[in-house]
Amino acid sequence: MTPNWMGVLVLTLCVALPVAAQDSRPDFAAEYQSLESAFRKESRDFQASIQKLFKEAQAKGAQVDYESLPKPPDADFVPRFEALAERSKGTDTELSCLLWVFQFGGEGVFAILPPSGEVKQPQKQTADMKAAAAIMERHASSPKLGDFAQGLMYRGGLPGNGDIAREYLAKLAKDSPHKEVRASAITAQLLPAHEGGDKAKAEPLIALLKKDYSETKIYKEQVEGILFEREFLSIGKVAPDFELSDIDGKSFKLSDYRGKVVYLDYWGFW
Amino acid sequence: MLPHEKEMVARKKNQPFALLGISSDTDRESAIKRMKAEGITWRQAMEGSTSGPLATKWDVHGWPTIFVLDHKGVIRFQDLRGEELEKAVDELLKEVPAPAK
Repeated sequence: MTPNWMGVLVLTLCVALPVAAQDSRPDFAAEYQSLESAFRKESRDFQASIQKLFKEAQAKGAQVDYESLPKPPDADFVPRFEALAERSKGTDTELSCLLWVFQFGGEGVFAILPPSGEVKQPQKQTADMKAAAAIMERHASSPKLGDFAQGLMYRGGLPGNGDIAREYLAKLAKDSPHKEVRASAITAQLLPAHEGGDKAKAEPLIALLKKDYSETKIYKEQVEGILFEREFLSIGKVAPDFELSDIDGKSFKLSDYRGKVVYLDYWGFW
Repeated sequence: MLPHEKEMVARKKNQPFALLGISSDTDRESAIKRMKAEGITWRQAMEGSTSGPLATKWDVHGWPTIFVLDHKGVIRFQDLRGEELEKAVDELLKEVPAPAK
């Protein structure tokens, strides 16, 4: 019996050791997954607790004290994703971590603004922009940068980080090997120009998108809306008609209101 | 916004003026409850989300987004607020031809 047992043991070790050795190599992707799901869970808990506070205050007819609200979990997770990015440098997981930090590591991305609507001036090198710099340095040719470009667009409008965000966008628009990423970056350059009424800047971007990018996802999602607006929704044009049901279930058309001055209000309580 | 809108609607009750609300609230029931509680009397339609079909088509990215149309249905002003908005409406009301007697 004993020799047989020895044989089994040796055999087991021979099989098990390489597996164990393989297992001891860090599985970055799995680490990312579990970190990400931990974050999601804490975010859900956070949002639930905020909603509860608001409901309680509403029930009492009281104002919510913004100072005493719990803080979102984002800031606590930033160093954890940064650490994983550092350890997994050069891998796809690093990029996932950097994109996460870019999305959630900015100041005030998920901040609850006080009723005054005041926005604090962001610091120069916030975690999100540090992540953006690393993404541009090591992952600028990744196909996964479509949303990143959209995020850069919002930062392009902020004081402090605007110049550098716009510089990254220009690079992506020109140099990304992926059509969707370039389209997203060009669209991200177009939107602020369009909204700011800067025709000189918007026209060539629209022409470029129309010519080379009309089959991309972002074109269908965002650019077509802009083209519709430019064609039909500018001041001096007859508003395109629509038909809707009101909250009492009666349907009506915008054109029912010819003869009246119409104040059309896209709004919401939230 | 709401108080001023209510005032405007009250002030222009007998004039050819209409306020139309396209709400992007997601929770239909509670939004309707609040509209009633706030005393909103003007017509409201609900899109159910900020990416509702009409808001998307009209390229609405910020709320509120306000268009002022003249009596011919021409878009004349966008994104005015408060006093300026009411002044614009008053200008357009002057353009509405008096009803034939």
